[in-house]
Amino acid sequence: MSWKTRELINEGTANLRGSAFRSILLAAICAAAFGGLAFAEVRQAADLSAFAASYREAGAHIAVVSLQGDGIPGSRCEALRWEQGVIGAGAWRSAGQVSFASAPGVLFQAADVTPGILAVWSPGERFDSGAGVIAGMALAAETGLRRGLMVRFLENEPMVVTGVAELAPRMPQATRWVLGPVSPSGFFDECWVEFEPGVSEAGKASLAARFATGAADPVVRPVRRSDEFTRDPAAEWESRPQKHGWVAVTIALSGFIVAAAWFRRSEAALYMATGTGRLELVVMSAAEHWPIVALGWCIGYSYAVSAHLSWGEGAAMDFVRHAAVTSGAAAVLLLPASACANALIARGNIAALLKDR
Amino acid sequence: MPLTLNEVSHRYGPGLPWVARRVSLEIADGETVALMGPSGSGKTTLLSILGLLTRPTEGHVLVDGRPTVGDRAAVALRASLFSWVFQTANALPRRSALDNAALPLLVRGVDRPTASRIAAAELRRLGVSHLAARPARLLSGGELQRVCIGRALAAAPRWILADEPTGQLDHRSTAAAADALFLGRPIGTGVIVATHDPDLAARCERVFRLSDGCLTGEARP
Repeated sequence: MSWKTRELINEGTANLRGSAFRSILLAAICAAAFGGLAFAEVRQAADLSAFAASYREAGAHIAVVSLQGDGIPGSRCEALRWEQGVIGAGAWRSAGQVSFASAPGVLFQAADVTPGILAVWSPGERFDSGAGVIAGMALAAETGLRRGLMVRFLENEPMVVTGVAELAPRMPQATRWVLGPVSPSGFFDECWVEFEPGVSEAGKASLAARFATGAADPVVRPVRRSDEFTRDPAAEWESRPQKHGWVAVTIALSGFIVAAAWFRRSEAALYMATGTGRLELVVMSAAEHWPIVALGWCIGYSYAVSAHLSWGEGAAMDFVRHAAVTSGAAAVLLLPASACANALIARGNIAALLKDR
Repeated sequence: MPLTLNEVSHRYGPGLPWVARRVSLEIADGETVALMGPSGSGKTTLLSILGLLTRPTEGHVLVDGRPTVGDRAAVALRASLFSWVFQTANALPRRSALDNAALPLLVRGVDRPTASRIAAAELRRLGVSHLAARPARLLSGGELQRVCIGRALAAAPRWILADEPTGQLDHRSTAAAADALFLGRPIGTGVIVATHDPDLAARCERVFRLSDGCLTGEARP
């Protein structure tokens, strides 16, 4: 002789509706806590991701190999492009200085480049592979060069400008250079290799062995020194406060819910006085509180993602998923605590609890 | 079959004074009994021990000759045997009068439509059917006490336990509540009432007098 489960759930939801103000207040508190947690997570993920991207764009994962004597074999350098963990690789060599026929007194540095190096120096841009020259951005700005123009160098045939490259972030000195794409055969001054972030250090360490000739040791240098950037995104992500903040949020929200139940302990006592068991109180409390927790999470999470988007930044799936997992873990952990709230406070003498109002 | 207290003593903690001392009594099915005594004599404690809300420190409560052992058994017996009317009408304040009156039936496994129908009939009999949809917190003390009496009667328990049921009511409401409790109860339902009110006690078949936690006398008005 005890509650029908359906009626027990109905009783919980009836209490939820009956205490509309309390329910809305608890849902708002849950939304604020879950939303705050999700927002902190998505913001930090975006911040670190933006930093990691700028770090990568500045050439954080690029190594430059040079070799005294003949230099670097271009074909061996270019071959690295096809290896796993390598984003791009290519070589360049100085081709002396050139003057335009239209301005014979002005000298510009010229360089021969293999096809792969343009992807390292100016990622994201595509250049025609046909014969012609590529101008650095500063050179183009100074001389008015643009793609498709024919230029004549002193003592040379006219050539077409096949592209203008933005080289400042990774190879700033080349912004006033004239680049001439060449085949990778022969030897070059330097080989530039960009690795994927995860294999960057190991890749850099292996480069010297790849170009060793026995006569001289290759010199490998990073484009960016490791101490040039003071932030370590991976370490920051691991030590972020909200990594364990969801536990604190759960404890705080559990406290709120138990405190809210405490003010209604005489009601829990009345249920017990009429023969409701503790387990039945748990089911009833779950029926009353779980919709509040679920609603609070949905609202809080939606607001967190919306607020992040309104910040003007896109939300990558990874960020959204991280925020969902962290705030969702807090919500899931809150479910048993909220279900036990009434049973927890309805302890001791029922007759005494009935008088506590 | 009776409800029996066998050498029951109780105190609310080690080192605290005894509020019930070696009390033994037996109450038959359908019997109406009053527990009388001055404030602090242990009436409410004895009532909550009889209703299995408080486990005695010493001694036993027997139902139908069997001792009540364990919390689970107490919960089941509370649901099946007893209904309560408290001094300060205990109700679910945000729920309607009808929901409050239907509560003991739901606890006993009755489905809500049936429970609501029975509770509504009880409220109608007590003259408060017009308050059925109103939240309990919006009812006056007299109205709420009648709803609580309706809640106790709707479940048709073996015993209704009433702790100063008229203690906070005016004279007119007191008479109405007492009539509802004693005259309106289902056949076979006993009433055990803890009270200061001699008029209310006079409606009972037996009166136990208490002083300082001890049973000092028994009378038949």
